[in-house]
Amino acid sequence: MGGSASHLSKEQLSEYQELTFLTKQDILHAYRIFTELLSKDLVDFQNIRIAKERFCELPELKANPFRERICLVFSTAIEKDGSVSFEDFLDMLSAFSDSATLEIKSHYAFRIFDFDDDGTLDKEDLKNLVNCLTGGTSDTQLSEAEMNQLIQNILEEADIDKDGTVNLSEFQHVISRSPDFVSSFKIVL
Amino acid sequence: MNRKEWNEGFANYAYHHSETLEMDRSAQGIPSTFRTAPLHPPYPQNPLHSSSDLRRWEPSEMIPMRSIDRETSRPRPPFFNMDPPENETGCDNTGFELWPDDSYGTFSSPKDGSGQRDTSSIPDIHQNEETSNKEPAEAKRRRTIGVTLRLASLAGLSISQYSMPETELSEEEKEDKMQLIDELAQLSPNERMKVIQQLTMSIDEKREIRDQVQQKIGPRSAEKDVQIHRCTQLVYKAFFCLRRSREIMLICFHSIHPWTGSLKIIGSKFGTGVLSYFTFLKWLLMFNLFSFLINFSFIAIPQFFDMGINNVTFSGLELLTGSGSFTKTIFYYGFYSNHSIQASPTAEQYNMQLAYFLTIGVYMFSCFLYLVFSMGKSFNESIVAVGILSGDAAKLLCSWDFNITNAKAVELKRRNLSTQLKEMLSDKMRYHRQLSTKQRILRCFVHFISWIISLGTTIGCCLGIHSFSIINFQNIWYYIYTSGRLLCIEFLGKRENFRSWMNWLFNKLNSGEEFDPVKANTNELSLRSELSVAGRPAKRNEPPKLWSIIYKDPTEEEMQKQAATLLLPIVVAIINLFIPLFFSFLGVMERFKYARHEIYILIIRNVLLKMSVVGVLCYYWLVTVASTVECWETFVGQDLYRLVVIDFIFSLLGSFFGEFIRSIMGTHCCHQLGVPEFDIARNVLGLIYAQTLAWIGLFFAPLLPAIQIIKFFIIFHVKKVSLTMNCQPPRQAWRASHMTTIFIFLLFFPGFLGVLCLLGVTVWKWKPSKRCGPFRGLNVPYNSISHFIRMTQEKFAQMFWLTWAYKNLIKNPLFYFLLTIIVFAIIYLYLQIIDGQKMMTKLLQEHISNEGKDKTYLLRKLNTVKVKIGSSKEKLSAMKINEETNDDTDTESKLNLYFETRRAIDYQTRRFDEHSLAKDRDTVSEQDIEEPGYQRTHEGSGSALALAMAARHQAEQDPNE
Repeated sequence: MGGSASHLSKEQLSEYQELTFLTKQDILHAYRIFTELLSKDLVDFQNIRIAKERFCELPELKANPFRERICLVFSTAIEKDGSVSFEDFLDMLSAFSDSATLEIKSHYAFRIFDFDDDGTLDKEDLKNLVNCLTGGTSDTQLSEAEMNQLIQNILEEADIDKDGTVNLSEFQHVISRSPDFVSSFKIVL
Repeated sequence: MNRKEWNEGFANYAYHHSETLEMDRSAQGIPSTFRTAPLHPPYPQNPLHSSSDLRRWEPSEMIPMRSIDRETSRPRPPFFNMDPPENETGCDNTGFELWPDDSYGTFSSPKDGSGQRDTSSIPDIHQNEETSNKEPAEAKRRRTIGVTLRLASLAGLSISQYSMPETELSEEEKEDKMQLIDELAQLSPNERMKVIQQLTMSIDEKREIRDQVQQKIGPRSAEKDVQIHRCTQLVYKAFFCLRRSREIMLICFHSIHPWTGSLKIIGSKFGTGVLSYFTFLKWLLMFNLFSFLINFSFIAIPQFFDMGINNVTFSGLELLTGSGSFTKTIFYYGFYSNHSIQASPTAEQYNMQLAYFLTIGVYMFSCFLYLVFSMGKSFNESIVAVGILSGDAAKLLCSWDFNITNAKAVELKRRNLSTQLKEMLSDKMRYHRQLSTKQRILRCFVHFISWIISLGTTIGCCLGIHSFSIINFQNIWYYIYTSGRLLCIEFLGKRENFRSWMNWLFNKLNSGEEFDPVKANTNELSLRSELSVAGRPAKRNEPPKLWSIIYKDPTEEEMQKQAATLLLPIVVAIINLFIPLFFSFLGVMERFKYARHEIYILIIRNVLLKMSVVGVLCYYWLVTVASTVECWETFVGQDLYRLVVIDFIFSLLGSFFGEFIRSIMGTHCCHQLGVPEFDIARNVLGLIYAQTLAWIGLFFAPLLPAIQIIKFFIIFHVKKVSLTMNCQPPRQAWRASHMTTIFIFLLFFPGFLGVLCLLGVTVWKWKPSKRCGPFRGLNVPYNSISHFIRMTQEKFAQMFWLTWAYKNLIKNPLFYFLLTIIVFAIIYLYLQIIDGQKMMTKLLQEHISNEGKDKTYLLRKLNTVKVKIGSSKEKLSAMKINEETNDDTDTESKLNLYFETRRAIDYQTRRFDEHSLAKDRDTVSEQDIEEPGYQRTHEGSGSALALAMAARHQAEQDPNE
């Protein structure tokens, strides 16, 4: 398993195991991938951050329309540039793992979908979300009228207190009604 | 207000906090006077000041314990000053900026000052903390982890999120954190670890919290730990060892498990829908592995010690037919011995009858339990949770499948999504256009006709299989081994006489009499008289002789005979392959309004077909075969083996022709066909059918699961390759978990329960064959149990409880009667509970919608008040200027006007405050009911929503227990 002379000490491993949902294998695997992304062997890997662009090249994220949001949400960089450290990476994997609860998953999903980081999904966020989902090309994009209709439908259904936005608990309410979410909100390395 | 009754009447857990509730209420009464204060103008033009005043004005009685000093010593957050002092709606937003740690839901950025923010957040959070601080220690203990978790997650959010550098962590956040740490410190280490894992924070913050908790409990827990270790050291050690070994096993399992990679690839290209087929396949494989292990170790291995010699040569055709040299092996029922087996003369005896019976019984029982539980779980997760079918929002918000990582697949998925959305929207717009009566009648007629056609096809297939099986059966059993030679006896009489003729023949054979053809010929007359065909003139079509005997080359004959046995499985497999295709075609012709309906109807028709085919086969085995064939169990086992194998071959052929050839045609010959989609429903139904066969075969061929394992293993890989090479992802969104539930249900209901019925009849009612198998010589296989009980009664007096249990529980109908009554009572109780909870959910939902209405009303009110205040202020200042400029003229009337305006403003503000107060109280009471500190989204509706969700969650949990 850990034959590749990892720099992860035993204490670190067990600490990460304690703090995330990941198993030992997952963490070692993540470590391997992370060092590959760094493309050089660094002793001080814990303080190194991978730039957002580089991190998005990960095969698991490469095609994901939400990759930039994922980076931004999980990044703890002070500069808010979406750069990802090893621990952020583990955080991400933990939230996307099998054992993470619905609560956690929906929480992070909400943050990923909340494009302007204001704590609610408003019309702009939903528009962004739909555009992300349908892709940017002109033949797949929805027309203005369709978009408005769709957003209106969504708000009608999800916005329970009728304040024109979807907040976290409303979002979680919607999510709790679609059982497929847990299995689809998953990234396996 | 009915709120109070509601608090006390509905939610049981409200009682826990009833005292705190009262306290809050009494506290609430006071501040109403203070609340009006901030809007009185010390500095009315600066809302920031006014709201900070509000903070100061708050009475200390309201804030108990720690919160007091927090309130007084709170430094003003630095960024608070940087806020734009006034925008149009700044007034109602000021409260938020003061509370930078307000949870996620209501943190308002300057950008979205839409004025639609909730105004109740300040009192809300106060009440919340208050109650949680006042809470007695026991109540705190009573809290579930979930509560802490929520709290923690919210705290975590505020720390890690939303543009707040670490340096600006306010006291408030630290307070939250402290509270969280306090709570964590009270939990057991295991629970604490779980809670920390579930925090939605970054690792760094988690680590910090963990360290602080450790610090807090450090010395104390160390002592405690030592004590615990002394007391239950051994248990801990054992537990630790167990966990470690489990971990190691998991690691091994993961490293040898070759499928995680495959599943990932499939998921990345085709999404969860197709993935669900493969996980289902894997699940079934595990089932079979389990049954194989059980059967092999408890039935087959003991039998190894008592093996006869098998000298029939292996020809290769056996792999297909399962007969020939396979017949006399541990593979089939007939080979097992009925006596007790001893490995060595000194060893204990192994009662084969009992082992056979109990192994199958225990396996069936554990299967039953497992299926029921997994069915209940998945029902709970998917169907109950969905409740009312969710519409657009859920579809959109949860639609992205993060499993998909293939760029092409992403593109395709996007395109599908966009067309789906467009279709859905156009549907919605067209929805109001009703069909005309004529069209509706036509549609009903089409459905009716296609139902008749499909049912007719099913019945036709069943009849066909029935008659074919009987004809085929007769052909087969013309060949009989006797004294080492093969006789080919052709039955020439009428088919109705066949069975009695066979019986006669077997009686002759069984009585040990040498079957001599010459003698048989002479005996024909007696047979004729037995069949009551003697004495009357032969009819036109009736041959003069009942049989003719042809001597043939035994090996060639054997081959022919084996080949003939394959005919029936092939016919069944062809029906199973092509009729579903026909049904799909019918479904397309019917033009269903919703794709969902089409899938359901297709599934129903296919299940009807497959299960009635299996039913007809069972009838054939139990009635025709069991009464004629000497060792009928082995024969049935062989038949099942053939069915399983041929089904396997046909499914391979199906994926070759249906997918490979089809995709070649689609890509090279005619492009409008396109690349085929992977039909999940049809494939899964095939699996269910195969598994049903395997279960039936369990009794007749105990090692059939081995074949099933190999079969599923190969199918998995073939399907995977065929899928990645030939197919495209299904265009329609596949509600994976919902369909999986339905499939598990189908596996259980017609599949497993049907098998149970069949095996029950076989074991309790049917006579086992006389000359082979473990139950030979018994009237019914079940008698082995009663024999065993009788034996223990005689031999082992100390086992009296076993006899007692057998007599009083198993043999006693009263016991079952009572059991049923108890089960019914429990079910009824749960139904009532669910009903109550449903009602409560409904009430809460109404409550939420009312809350929303309240909110909009209050917001509107607030706006009007603001406008009025603004205008009155203008008036006022204008008046003041007037007063200054010409103060001599009618000052009195102006003063009057001034006071009137002031009164109006006062009145308005007070009214507004009363409103907001009432609302706050509601919010608070809700949160108290739920559990203090449960949800700090500072919106009444938010918390009510959470409450409703919790109630519903509980309602779902209950039936599961």
